[in-house]
Amino acid sequence: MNRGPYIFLGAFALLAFSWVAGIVANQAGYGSLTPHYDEMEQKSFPQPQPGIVARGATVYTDLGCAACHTQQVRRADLGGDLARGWGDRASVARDYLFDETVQLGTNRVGPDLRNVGSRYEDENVFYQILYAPDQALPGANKPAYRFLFEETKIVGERSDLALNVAVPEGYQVVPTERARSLVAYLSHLHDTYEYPETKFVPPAKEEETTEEEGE
Amino acid sequence: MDSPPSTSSPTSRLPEWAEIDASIKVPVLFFVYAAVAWLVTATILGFIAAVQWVQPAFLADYAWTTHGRIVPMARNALIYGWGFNAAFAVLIWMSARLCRAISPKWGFTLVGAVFWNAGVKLGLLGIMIGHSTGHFLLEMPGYAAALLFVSYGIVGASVVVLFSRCREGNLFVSQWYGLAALFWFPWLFTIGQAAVVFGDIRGTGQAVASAWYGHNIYALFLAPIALGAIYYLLPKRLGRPIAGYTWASLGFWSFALFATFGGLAFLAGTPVPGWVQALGVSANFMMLVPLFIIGYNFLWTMFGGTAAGGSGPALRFIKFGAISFLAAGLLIKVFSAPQVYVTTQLTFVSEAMNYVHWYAFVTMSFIGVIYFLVPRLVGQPWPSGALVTAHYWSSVVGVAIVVVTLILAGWVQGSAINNVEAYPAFADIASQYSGYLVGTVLGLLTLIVGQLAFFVNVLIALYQACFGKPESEIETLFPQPAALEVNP
Repeated sequence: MNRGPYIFLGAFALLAFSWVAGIVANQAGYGSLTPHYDEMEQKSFPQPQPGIVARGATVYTDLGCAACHTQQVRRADLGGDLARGWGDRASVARDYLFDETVQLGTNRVGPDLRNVGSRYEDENVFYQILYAPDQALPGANKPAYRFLFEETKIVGERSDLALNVAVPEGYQVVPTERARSLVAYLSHLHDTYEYPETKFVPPAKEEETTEEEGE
Repeated sequence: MDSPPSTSSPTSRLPEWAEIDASIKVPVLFFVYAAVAWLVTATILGFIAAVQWVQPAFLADYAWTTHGRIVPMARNALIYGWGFNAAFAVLIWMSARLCRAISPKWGFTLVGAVFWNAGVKLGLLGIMIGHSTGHFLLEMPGYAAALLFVSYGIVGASVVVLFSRCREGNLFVSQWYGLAALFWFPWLFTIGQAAVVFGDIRGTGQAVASAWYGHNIYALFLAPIALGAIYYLLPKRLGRPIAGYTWASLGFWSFALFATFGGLAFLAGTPVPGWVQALGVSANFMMLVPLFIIGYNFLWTMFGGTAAGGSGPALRFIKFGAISFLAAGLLIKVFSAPQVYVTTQLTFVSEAMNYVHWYAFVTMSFIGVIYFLVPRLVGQPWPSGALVTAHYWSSVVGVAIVVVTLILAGWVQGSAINNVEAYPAFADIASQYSGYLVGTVLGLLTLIVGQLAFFVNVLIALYQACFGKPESEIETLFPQPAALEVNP
C-alpha cells in the first residue's frame, strides 16, 4: 500500500466516503425538510423574508457580524441560553430554511442574536446601539458602526429616523439604506413558532444521556 | 502533463542533488518569501483583531477595518497566504528530494505561484470591500476562488510531474502524506465552493458543509503536509530511522479517516441532526488510534535513541511542531467532552484551538522545514544566528501565551454566560475576561517580533543568493561547515 497509484486511489475513496457521510447524507435529510403549514393559522412557517430583510442579511454577512455573534439557541441542558432569555425555545433546523447564508457563529463576544427582534420593540433602539453602543449598552464590548449613518442637512422637517445625538444646528444624523436594511433584518429575527419537533422536548435534566453523548 | 522529450529516456544515471536543487530553487524560494510575508501580514491582522476585542473603538470608524472583516482577513491570510505558500515550498522540496527527480520547467511553477498569491490578495481585498461569502474559510469571493483554483492546478501539476518521475517504486511516509494532500485540496475546494458558495444547500446544511470544509483544510491539507515534513526531517536531523516505521502506514490511513470528520464535532448542540454531531464526536474519540501511532513514531524517534541527537533551528521547530500535534490531539478530546463543551463551546476556546492547530503545530513545522531548505537552496548558511534564536523563543513564548490566555478567557466567558444569576446583564461579562485578552494581544506582539526577525533573515538570505558575496565573508550560524552539507 505504499505505491503512488494505491495512495491516489485510497485518498480518493477516503474523501468520497467523507463527502458522502458528511455532506450528501445530511443533505438527503434536509432535502425533505419543508416549511410547516399550520391549518389553524392558514400560514406556513418559517415565513419567507421580505426583500428588505433579505438585503439586511447580506449587510450582516458582509460586515462579518458573525465574528462576535452567534445565531443559535442551545437546549436548556447545554448552557444558559434559554435562562438568559435568548429565545423561547431551542433553535431547530427548520428555523433556518429561508436564510440565504446561515451563520451559526462560533464565538459569543456579543449576545446571541437569533431572537434579537423580540428583545427590542422599537427599531430606534437598534440604531442607537449601532451608532453609540457605549451609551445604549454601558459596559458592552461593542464597536460603533458610524459608517452606517450619515450627517445630512435638514431640509424641511427633521427625519423620523434622525438620532438624538449632538449635531450642528440644522443637521441630523440618519441611518443609511444599509443601516435600515440591517435593522429590518435584526427586527425580523424571531423564532416563535412551535413546530411539531419543538413541542415535545422535555425542559431539562432527565434527557441527559440521549443522542450525542452516546458516542 | 507533457514531459520534455529527451530527459524522460531511460537513462540509468540518477540526477545529482545540485541539479535537483537548481531545478526547483526559484519557485521554492519565491514560495518561501511569499509565505513569510503573508505570515507577518496575517499575524498583524490577528493582532488588530485582538486589540479590537479589548478596545472595540480601535479602527472601527471605517467599514474596511471593522472587526467583522479583519477577522476573516486574518484567518484567510494565515491559511491561504502563509499556510499554502509554505506548504507548496515544503511539498515541492520534499517531493523533488525524495523522488530524486528534476523539475522540468520551473517557470511553469513560478507562474502558478504568482497567480496563487494574486488570488489571495484579490480575495482579501474582496472581504475588505464587503464581498465576503460569510462561510468559514470560504469567505473569499467567487472571483478570487476561481483564480486560486486555476493557479493551484498549475502548481499541483508540477508536483505531480515530480512524482511521475520517481525513481523508487516504494514511497516514503512523507510522500504518502504529501501525495494525498496534493489531491485532497482541489476536491475539497470544489466540494466546498459547490456546496456552500455556488450551490443551494438550504438551512443548517450550510453549517455542516462549511464546518466539514473548514476543518478539512487543516485535517486533509495542512496537517498531512506538516506531518510529512516531521517524518522527513526528524530522522534526517537526528541521524536515526523512524521508530516503529511499519506502523506509520496505519497511522496515515487512520488519521485521514478519523480527522476528516473532526470538524463536525464543533456542531455539538447546534441545530443540526444528532447523528452528524455524534459522528464528529466519535471520530474525535477514534483519533486516539492515529495519535498513539504517530506519537509512538515521533516520540520514540526523538527521545528513544541513546545518541545525543542532532541540533539546529530546523530540528527545534520541528520538535515543537511534533509535540504540539500530539498536544492538540489530547486538547481536542478534552474540549469534546460534554461536561467541558457546555462551557467552552462558542467561546474564545475555539480561537485557541485554531492557534494550536494552525500555529503551534502546522506553522512551527513548516518554519522548521524552511530553516532546513533555504541554506541548501542558496548554498549559504543563515545570515544571522541571533535572529534565528530570537525567532524561536518569541514563537514558543508567543504562541504559548496566546493559547493559554485564549483558553482562560473562553472558560471565564463561557462560565459567565451560563451563570445567569451572577451575570444577568450580558454587558457585564466582557470585563470579566478582558484582562486575559490583553495577554493575548501581548502574545501576538511577541509573535510579530519573532516573525519580523525571521522575515529579515529570509530577506538577507535571498538578497545574498541573488547578489551573493563569497561564503567566507558571512558570519556563520553553523559551528561546523559540515552542518550545511548537501546530503539527502
